[in-house]
Amino acid sequence: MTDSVLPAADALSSVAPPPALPAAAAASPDPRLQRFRFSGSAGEYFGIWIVNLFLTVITLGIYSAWAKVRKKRYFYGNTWLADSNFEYHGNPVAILKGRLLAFAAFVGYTLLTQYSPRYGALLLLALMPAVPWIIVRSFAFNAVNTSYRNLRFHFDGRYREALAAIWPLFLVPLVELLIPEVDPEHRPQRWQDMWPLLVTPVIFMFLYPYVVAKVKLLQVNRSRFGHADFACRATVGSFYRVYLLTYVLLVVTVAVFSGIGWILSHLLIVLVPFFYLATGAIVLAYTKSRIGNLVFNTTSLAGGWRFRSTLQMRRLAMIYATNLLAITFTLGLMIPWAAVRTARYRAECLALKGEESLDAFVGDMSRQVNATGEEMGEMFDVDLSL
Amino acid sequence: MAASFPADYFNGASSTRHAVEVEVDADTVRIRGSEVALDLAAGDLRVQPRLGKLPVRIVLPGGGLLVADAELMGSALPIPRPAGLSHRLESHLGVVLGSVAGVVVAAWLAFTYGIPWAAREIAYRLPPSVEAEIAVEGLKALDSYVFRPSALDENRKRRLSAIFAELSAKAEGAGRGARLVFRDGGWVGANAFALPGGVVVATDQLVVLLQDEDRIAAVLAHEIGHLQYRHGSRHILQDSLVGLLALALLGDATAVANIAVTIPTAMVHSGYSRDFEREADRFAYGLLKQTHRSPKLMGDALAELERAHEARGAACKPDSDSDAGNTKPAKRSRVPDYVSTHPATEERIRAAEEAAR
Repeated sequence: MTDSVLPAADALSSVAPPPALPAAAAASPDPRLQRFRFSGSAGEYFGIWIVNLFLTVITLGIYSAWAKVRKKRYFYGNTWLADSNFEYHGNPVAILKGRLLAFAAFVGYTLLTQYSPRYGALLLLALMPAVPWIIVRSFAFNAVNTSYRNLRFHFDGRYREALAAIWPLFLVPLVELLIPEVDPEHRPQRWQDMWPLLVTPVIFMFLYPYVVAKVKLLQVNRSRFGHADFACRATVGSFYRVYLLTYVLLVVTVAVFSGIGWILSHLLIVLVPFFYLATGAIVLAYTKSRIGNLVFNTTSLAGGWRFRSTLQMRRLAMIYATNLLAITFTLGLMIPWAAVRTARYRAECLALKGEESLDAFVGDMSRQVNATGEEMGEMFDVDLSL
Repeated sequence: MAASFPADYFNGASSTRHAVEVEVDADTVRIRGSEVALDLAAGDLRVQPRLGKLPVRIVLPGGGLLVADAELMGSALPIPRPAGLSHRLESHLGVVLGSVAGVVVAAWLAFTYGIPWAAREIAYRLPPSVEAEIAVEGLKALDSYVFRPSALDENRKRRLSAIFAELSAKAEGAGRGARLVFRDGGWVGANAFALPGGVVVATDQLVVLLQDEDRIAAVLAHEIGHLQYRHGSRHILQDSLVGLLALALLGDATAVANIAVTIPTAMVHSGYSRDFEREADRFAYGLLKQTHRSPKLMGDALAELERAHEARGAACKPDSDSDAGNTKPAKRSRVPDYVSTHPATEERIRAAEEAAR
């Protein structure tokens, strides 16, 4: 829902294991391979998390912007590549302003949808022109506020490019308004008559992979580290392959688990929510691992550097499932542990490969970018991150 | 006396890492490495806030950066107090434990008092037109997917409607002037529902099962209680508020955490439902007494319903719930509500008998 920056910084929300810097490079079979690693610990992060959460609560949410910066600094800062860590520079005041704006928009939307879903769809349609702007701003804010070795990342994408990536989503509320409303007086008896209910979700599922692919490609291809450009040569078709299998997997797991759930429901009703969580863990692990690998493995930096991502669906699903259990049974207190171990695994699976030294990048001084776009994106969950 | 520590230096124009030695002598800072020689005034250095065990970052005038281990820096270059404040709080055991207690207490207060209070305040301020819409739309949805037209004879309906009118005339606010409709409950079976906006639905099966009109009156009084206290709207509002609050507190972590938050949320939901049922029961006792009936009727009706549901078998036990605002029973159909959202039936029967004394 939150983090997604440029390719390299993406590894931030994910990140990796304990010490051993040059040792890691030396131990790896390929000397040109630079592994990412994450050095954060659950115990240490717990203190940071809970103190910031408490400050957020007693300030009625105001402090959440500062808390977010602390959190991002912790995860970026504990992500290492070749003896140097990443750094997050976001300004809490800019984030707070964005959050207030996003909150106001969210409250307006919620009130309207409570009143009538149709008004909600209309409002979404009215907000559509702002979406490309939100995407561009949030990518730019994240990029320019990320640095490695005192060089900033940049995102140069334009409004019209983001618009070209997401325009198919505009069709969804349009279709919603065009299809006939189901008339309760003539309830659909046969499955075939239910089509008006299915049109919107089916269209959305069909368009979604295209939009994810285009947004991801925009993000990577318009990102720079200093003056070095990122380039991703993944095809839209390869995103469709992943999402098609995601849909199949979703249907299969839901079918299997509801089957088991139905059988068990009379004996062990309490288990039902856990099947629902298991479905979530498996499907999420599939999409995240496949899309993550797809994007990183087709991305290069400055022509010569390549990423290598080896996320495994099974490992990730186990991590997600155990995270879910731990978080559920501790009413959220294990969230820091879950976040740290996920970051560690994701960093472990990422490496950078190239002939040259990481000393060779050059850059320029950064410029400031407003945080509003990012916060709007976060609230409405249009940040189509990995 | 000069103190020194090792650091990495980055000039801001390239990604080259320079290993340097930083010497601090009174107000002068000397940075020396194989290709670096900088002399700076200590006052021009900006030490960034500390965080965990991460190396300390020192921004130099002109855009350069020093990265040094906090331990090795020692007291050579003191970290200004404001830059260390957050770190001192976050790594202080007492503050951490205090924060855990603070967050737990705040969450408990919010879920126990804050959310029910806010939902009540909002619900009582809802314009009648909004609630009326819920009733109309809710009944339409139920008619489409669950109910069939009632097959009860007209005399019986008229008598029950008269009893209902007598009861609802004694109620206040949203309970007064409610409307009673009859439906064949289909797979829902013997049940009654209160839809926000002033509609009570009684199923044919309920009427047939309870037979005695006074016992049916007890169930109707309970439903009028749901309307008077706006339980339906409060339910919807509470669920939304719980979700929002949980997400605000615990979200932000990972997408997975957002999913996990829904389970404790469901448990909170059950707690609220039980409170509403007790409140509606208590309301029903009062209404029954006012119309010269015994609150014990409520217990009799519950016992009868419980027996009927047991007879139908746990296998396909539907919503044995006379829950207000639950306009989508299909979604929860396999969940035996007495397990969670209703207080134990025995407990309610006992309460009814006590109220009758």
